[in-house]
Amino acid sequence: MAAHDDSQVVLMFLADTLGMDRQSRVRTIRTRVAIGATALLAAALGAVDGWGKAEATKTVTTPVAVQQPFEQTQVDQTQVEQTQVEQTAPAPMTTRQS
Amino acid sequence: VIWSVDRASGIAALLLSSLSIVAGLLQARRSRLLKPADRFPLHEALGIAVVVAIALHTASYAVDGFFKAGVVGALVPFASPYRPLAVALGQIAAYGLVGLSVTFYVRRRIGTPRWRAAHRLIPVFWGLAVVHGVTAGSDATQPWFLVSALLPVGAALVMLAARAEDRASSDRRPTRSGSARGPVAPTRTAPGASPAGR
Repeated sequence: MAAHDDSQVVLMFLADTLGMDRQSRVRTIRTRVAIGATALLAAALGAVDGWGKAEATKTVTTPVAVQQPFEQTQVDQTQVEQTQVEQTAPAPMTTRQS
Repeated sequence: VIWSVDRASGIAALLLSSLSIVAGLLQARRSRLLKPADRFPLHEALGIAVVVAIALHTASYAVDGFFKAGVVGALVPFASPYRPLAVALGQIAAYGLVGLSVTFYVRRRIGTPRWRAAHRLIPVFWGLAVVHGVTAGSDATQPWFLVSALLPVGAALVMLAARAEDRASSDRRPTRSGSARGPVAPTRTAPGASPAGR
């Protein structure tokens, strides 16, 4: 009877240990996947937002003021201002058209 | 910001669903890529991550001020003001992916064979999601997107092709004692899952 009880205890201990190992393993995997998915989302966010802004900044900072003859300065200045207004539009608007 | 979250969550959902398909198909194959005991938990965790990413993608699209899609435009196929067909593909794909993933938790109620048959339709909806990403995504032609999507999407396609080949060869093979599937299709019972599970 005592031997029987001992074997039962051992079996229960093994089952508990293996079960705990499996549960902790599942928890570890879930945590890692959650971290990985968050990192993936952050990387995608950086890709669509950060890099897009970098390109937009390049576009905006493109020199638009050019040397013009005195007679055309007024007209050109208006065009330059108009161009600047168009180019300083929010970056996402530019990206959405693609 | 919302527009960026919309695009980023869509990309994340596409990549995660591709990885989930790879992890799911690995369960039925002999591979040293992952420990057999880790495959099902990984597949399940990736599936949950896909559902979260899809929810974020849908919600951010609904509240985006540029498209003004609203809840109806985000949830009802062909009701989107932006590229209705391309967005509808994504909406149908989302319903399929989320709906069929959730059936795992009610498989005992609906019956394992029925659940398994439904689960095998997931790659079809994943294919719709890929088409949606290419046709509706404004980053689809960006090199960084193509490079990052190439590996998971390509791996999923390779795994699906291998699975189809396995099934085709299994169908061609004469069966013993009326068994429909030979040893080519090993057990899909997840370690630790219920006997009625995958």
